[in-house]
Order: sequence, then structure tokens, then C-alpha cells
Amino acid sequence: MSVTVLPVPEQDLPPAVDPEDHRRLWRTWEPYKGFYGWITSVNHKTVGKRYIATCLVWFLFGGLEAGVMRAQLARPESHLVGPDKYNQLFSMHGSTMMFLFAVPIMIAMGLYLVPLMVGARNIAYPRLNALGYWIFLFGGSMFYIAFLMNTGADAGWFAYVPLSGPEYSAGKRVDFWAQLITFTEIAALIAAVEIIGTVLKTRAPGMSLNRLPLFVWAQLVTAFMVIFAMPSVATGSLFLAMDRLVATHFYNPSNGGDALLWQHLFWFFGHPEVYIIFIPALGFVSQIVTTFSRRPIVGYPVMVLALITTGFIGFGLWVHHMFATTVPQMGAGFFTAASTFIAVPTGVQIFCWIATIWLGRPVWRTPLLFVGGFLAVFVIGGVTGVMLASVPFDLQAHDTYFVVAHLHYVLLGGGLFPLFGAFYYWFPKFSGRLMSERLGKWNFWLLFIGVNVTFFPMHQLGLDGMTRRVYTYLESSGWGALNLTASIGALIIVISMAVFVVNLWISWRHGPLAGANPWNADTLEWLTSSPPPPYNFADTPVVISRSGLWAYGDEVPVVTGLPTHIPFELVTTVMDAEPVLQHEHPGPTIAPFVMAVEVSLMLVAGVFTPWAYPIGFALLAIPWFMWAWPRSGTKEHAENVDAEYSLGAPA
Amino acid sequence: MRRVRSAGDVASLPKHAFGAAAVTWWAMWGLMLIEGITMVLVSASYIYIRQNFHEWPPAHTPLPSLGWPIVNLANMWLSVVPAVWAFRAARRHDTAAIRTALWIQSAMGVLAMVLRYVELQSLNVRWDTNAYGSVAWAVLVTHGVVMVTDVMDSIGLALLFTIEEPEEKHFVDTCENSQFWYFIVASWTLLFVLAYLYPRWTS
Repeated sequence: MSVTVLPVPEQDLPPAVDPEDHRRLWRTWEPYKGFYGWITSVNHKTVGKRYIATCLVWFLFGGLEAGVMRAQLARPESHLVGPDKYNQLFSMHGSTMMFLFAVPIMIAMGLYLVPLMVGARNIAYPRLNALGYWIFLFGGSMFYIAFLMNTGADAGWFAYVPLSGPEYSAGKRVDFWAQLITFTEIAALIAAVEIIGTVLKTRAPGMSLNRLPLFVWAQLVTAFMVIFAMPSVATGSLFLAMDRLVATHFYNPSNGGDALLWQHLFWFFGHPEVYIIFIPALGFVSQIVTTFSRRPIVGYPVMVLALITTGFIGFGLWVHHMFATTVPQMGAGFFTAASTFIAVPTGVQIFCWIATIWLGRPVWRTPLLFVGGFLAVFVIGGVTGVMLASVPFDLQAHDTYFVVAHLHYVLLGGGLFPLFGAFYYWFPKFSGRLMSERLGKWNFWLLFIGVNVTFFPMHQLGLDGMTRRVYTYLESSGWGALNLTASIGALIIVISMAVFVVNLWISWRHGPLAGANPWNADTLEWLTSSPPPPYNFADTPVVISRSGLWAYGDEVPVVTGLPTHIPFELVTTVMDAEPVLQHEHPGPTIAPFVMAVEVSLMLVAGVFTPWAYPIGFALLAIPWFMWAWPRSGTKEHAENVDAEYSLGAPA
Repeated sequence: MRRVRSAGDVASLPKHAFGAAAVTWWAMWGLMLIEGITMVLVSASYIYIRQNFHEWPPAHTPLPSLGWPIVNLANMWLSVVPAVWAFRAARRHDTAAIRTALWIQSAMGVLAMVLRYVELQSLNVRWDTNAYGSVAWAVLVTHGVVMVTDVMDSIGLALLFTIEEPEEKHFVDTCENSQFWYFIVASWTLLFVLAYLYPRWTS
């Protein structure tokens, strides 16, 4: 039988013991063609890129809302937008940035990168991965369609009761907000389970836990935090939805309910959420600092312990958001101590990074510049955080622009700067091309200046008494000049983002080819080609040192023998990553898409009628069985490839 | 790009395993963790709302009845027997025994769902009467939703073992389905104490 030459795209391929494996693997792992292929793909790189792109679209929307708010506040007594639209704008902005951008994009980066960094061929539960993405996409779309129909969220991103309850928020605005929470929590929880499964079970042989790249550690800690934190807000928002839909009384004090229950449930999630954004960012920083300092990170065990400690303490801070409520003094004291204490592990990491840069040979490319920006901006946010951890100060600054300044310094410094550094760092892996350094530096400096010009004056505005969420202010307040400064800063941020988009567009099409490892980095994703083939690695690499690729020399040890005819990957032990199993991967299927459509219809209908839930659950059986029922396709496919290559039946 | 050399061959490794070696086992534990935490949070809300009342159940609200809830508790405890049977049969690849055990387990699961509806009536309070009613219903419904997913899984596996020739991985699935059912029964035992016995101790 003649051997058919299968269509392998013209690109560099990762090294393989038997180069012919590439043809077989490509055929086995490539998605279906056309629109059907688009909605059935379960490859972690496809899903990860979609996730990132979708988050960036929501980021654009959230940014536009911020832009309109800054235009409104640029001068006193402005009537660009009225109070009702302004309420929607800040609620949509906050909800978008937290639930549709900051948390999911950190997770999405993990969904793309973690399997590559641990040497796996795909994520552990690829169909769940696809389901999570579709639910996320549909949830965000529902939220914005509602906004376009003048039903946008208007009770703030944390939707405090009783304001968000049935008595004070008639209509369906809060209901769509509560349902957005359900959508995004399902997606985040799914992703967390995937990351845990991938990290603990599909690492390359030899990658024991003490050789895990710090970004992977960060993703693992984050995934556990998601699992412990997200059910809290999901429970709270479901209670809120039920109070509004079927007249339950969870938050209704006149019938024994409790408004503070909402605050506890929300902030038990809401504060760890900050670390769910921040800890992956710490992982970005560690990888970038290592690569561009040209030396292993200083204090690896301490860095890992700091990540884990941050994850634990992150759950002991939530009440510091509630100091203005009737928290007992002893309780407030405990949460003040915990809020101060969490600065310790973060400080330890900052010293380790500085020591690494100090002892290394730093190359100040754009990713490292963003790390520098992170250190400066985040430290300012951290210092005001320690100030706000003190109850007397917090009571003075509560609900003022001081808090707005603090939270933006923390989230932009601790999240956005490392994220942009990560974009510039991993863009070659995503696209195969390098981004422009010149535009990158413009992007960085404009962002750095813009962030400080926008948010630094807000500290003073808060101390001057300007409360957050006011749609305008009187000229006699004297807040005009600082507000105008902040709005000019926002314009600089917009220009910075425009530079980024132009850089992205030009580099994706015309950037210089990157090759497998343009930065001479040490982690496994740089072993495979850029962009990687659908199966990531032809042969699974064996990790011989914490320094990854830097320890290899000219030859990379790999394990061979995994079937190439059907999608298989290697399963290893939790602690030492010793091979124990060959695991067959589920192939592409439309079931996750159908299930996401069904779940989305149920949740949207659930805004209007409680019957959506029992009916929706009953109908869930259809995609459930589509998903789980065995299909003969995989076996037939394997037989076809066998016939083509005359290889005989797989073992 | 670097060269590669083979440092070992994994072709002889097994393609299926029971327990912690299997990738799916970790997903099952992930789901149990998520659902367990949700039940803990709902229980914490129950206790939190309890602080707002002098009496529990609140004045003019009757105590929950115990008859049908005890029947269902007994049904769920007994349903562990076919679950263990299915688990052990799966370990020794005894397809006929698995089929029988799964159908019995599914039937008892469906019975538990029907009795859950009766249990809601046995609370003797509506969800919209007061916060006690709301949170008591929340305890039962939260657990009920988790239970429905596993009953669907049991029925699916029972159908599969009846209609199709099972693959090796379906034996692993059967074991994990049984383990998830143990979690459902154990968590309900604790929630039963909270929803039906705790009001008796504090009233």
C-alpha cells in the first residue's frame, strides 16, 4: 500500500525520534475543517486563544465604559450622561473587568500555557475545557445584550443588598448581573479542575513538584483558590436571584434574612478573587525575570512557599471590606492583622525577583520593562492597602476615591502590567512571530505614565471627600482640576492601548519569525515549535533539572512509545512524575457546544421564570448522553491511519 | 533546534487504571470538592440566619416532619449496597453483575429523587414564608441538584452496560460513579441532621 503524504503545514516542527510521527500525529490531533471544526475543537491552544481574545474584547468594552466615565467627570456638573446611565456604566465596567476580563484572562493564559509548560499534549479534560469557554462566551454576550437593551447592571460590581434586592431594584438589571455570575463561575470552576488535573497528572517524566515552573505553581495555587472561593459567590448570587424571582428571604431582614450574609458570601469570594488575579501574575513575573536575567530564580523554595502562603492568607482577609459594618472589634483586629500579614509573602517574592535581576545579566526587553512597571505601581497599591487595613483609616476612606485609587493600583499594577509583559513574552509562542520592541516600549511608557496620571490624583480626591460612584460634582467642591488630570491620564492609557493593538496587528502579520525559543528561555513550551503543532510534542520530553531546557545541552531525552494513531498522552505520578499510564484523549465533538447552548438558554430563561431550572435540567440529559455515549469514530479513525501506514492494529 | 534521543519506552504501560492513577478520578474529586464546599456554604448560611431568630423554627412555623425523610435516609443508606456491588464487580470486570447493580442503584436513586420532593413538603414551611423556610429549602435543593447529576450518570452507565459492549474505561467510570454516590449519601446524612434534627434540638 502506498503511503499517502498527509498535509502537514509548512512550519518548523518540534524534534522527534521518528520524524514520520509528525504526519501520524498531525492527522490524529488536527481538528475538523470548516465551521464544524470551529465549534467542535477541544484543543487547549485553540480554546485558550479564543478565551484570551474574548477576554480582550470584554476588556475593550470595559475600557470604553471607563473612558465615558472619565469624560463625564473631567469637568464639574457635566451632563454627558445622566445618573441612570452612569450607574450602569460603573456597574458594567467593574463587573466586566473583574468577571469577564481579569480573572478569566489569567485562567485562559494558564489553559494555553500550562499543558505546554508541563510537557503534555493537551489539557487533562479537553471537552470540559471547550464547555467552559462556550459558557463564558454566552454569559458575557448575554450581559452585553442586556446592556444594549438598557438592562445593564446598575447596582455596582458587588451588588450590595438591599439596593440590589427586589424592593430597591425593580426590573431585570440585577437579575442579568446575578446570572452573569453563574455563567462565569461555572466557567472558572471548570477551568480550575482542568488545571489541577493537568498539573498533577500529566507532567513530563522527571518534572517532580520541586521542578515545577513557578508559573505552573501559581496556576495550581490559583486553581485551588478558585475551587474554594467561587462557590461562595455562586451561592450568594443564587440566593439573590431567588429573592428576586421567587420571593425567598435570604437577604430580607423583615422576614429574618440578613443583608450582611450577602457581604460575607460575596467577599469570601471577592477578596481571594484579587489573589486569583494576582497570583498568576506573580507566575508571569517569575518566568519573565528568570528568562531575562539569564539565571535561575533566587530562592525557588521560598517563592513556592510564598505562593502557597498567599493562597491561604487570601481567605482570611474578606472582612476588611466590611469594616464599616457592625463587625465585632476582636474580629476587626484579626482581619487587620491578616491584611497586614499578607504583605510578607509578597514582599519575600519581590526581594527574590530583585535579587535575581541583581545577580543576573538583565536584558531590558519589553516583557522585563512591564515587570519593572509592575514593581513600581504594585508597591504603591500595596502600601495604600496596608493603610486601608487599619480600621480607623478605613472608616475615613471607605467608599471614597482613595479606595478607587488603591484598587486600581493593585489590580493594574499587580495584574495588567504582568499580563502585558506576558503577552510580549509569549506572543512568539502563540503566533510564531515577535512583537515590535519599539512599539512595545511606547506601549509600556504610555501605560506607566497614564496609570499614574489617572489614579494617583484619586488618592487626594478621596482624602478631599469625593465619594465613589457619583455621576457629577459641584464646581465649588474644588475637585475639578484633579478630575481633569485623571481624565487626561485615562486618555494616555487609551493611546497606550491603541499602540498595543497596532503592535498586535502588525506583528501577527509581519513580525519577524521567532523560531522555537527566541528568548533562550528554560521552560518546556520553548522546546516545541512556535506556534506548536496540535499535539504539542512529538515525543514527551524528560525533565532532568529545575532549570529545564538550560540543563539539556545539545540532546533532549524523551520517552517514546505512545500510540500515534489515536490521541494518547502520558500520565505520571503526582509527586515525582513517574510514568504510570497511557491515557486516551477524547476527540473533538459538538457535545460541549450543545451543552453550553442548553445551559445558557436555561440560565437566561431563569431570569424570567423558575421553571427554567427543572425543565433545563431535564433537557440536559440530551447533551449529557451525546457527550458520554461511546462513539465508534475514534476507532475507525485509528484503523484508517493504520491502513494508510500499514502499521497494523494499535496495541 | 535540539536533537532528541529516546530515554525510555512507555508502550508497555497500561492504558487504564482504577483509583488515583486515572485522570478522571481527579476530576471526580474536583467536582466533589466544589459541591462539598457549596454544601458547607449553604449550611453556614443556615447557621448564620439562625442567629436572627430567638426560636428555630421561628414562631408559628411548625417543626419539620421526620417520617418520609427517615424513609429516604434509609433508602439512601441501603443504596450504598448496590453501589459497592457495582464498584467491586467493575474491579473484576463482571459485566453481568455491574448491569444488575447499576440498575438497582439507579432505581434507588430515582426513588431518592421522588422522596426528595416529599421531603420538601415535610419541611412544613414554604420557601417564601420566612428566611428559615428559604434556607431550609436551599439545603435540600442544593443537595438534590447534585444527586440528580449522579442518578443521571448511573442510568447512563446502566444503559451502556445493557446496550453496548463496554470498553475498559467504562469499568473505571463505574467505580468512580459509585464513589461519587458514597459522597452523595455521606453529605446527605450530615445535611439531614442539619435540616431535620437540628431544629428539634434548638426549638
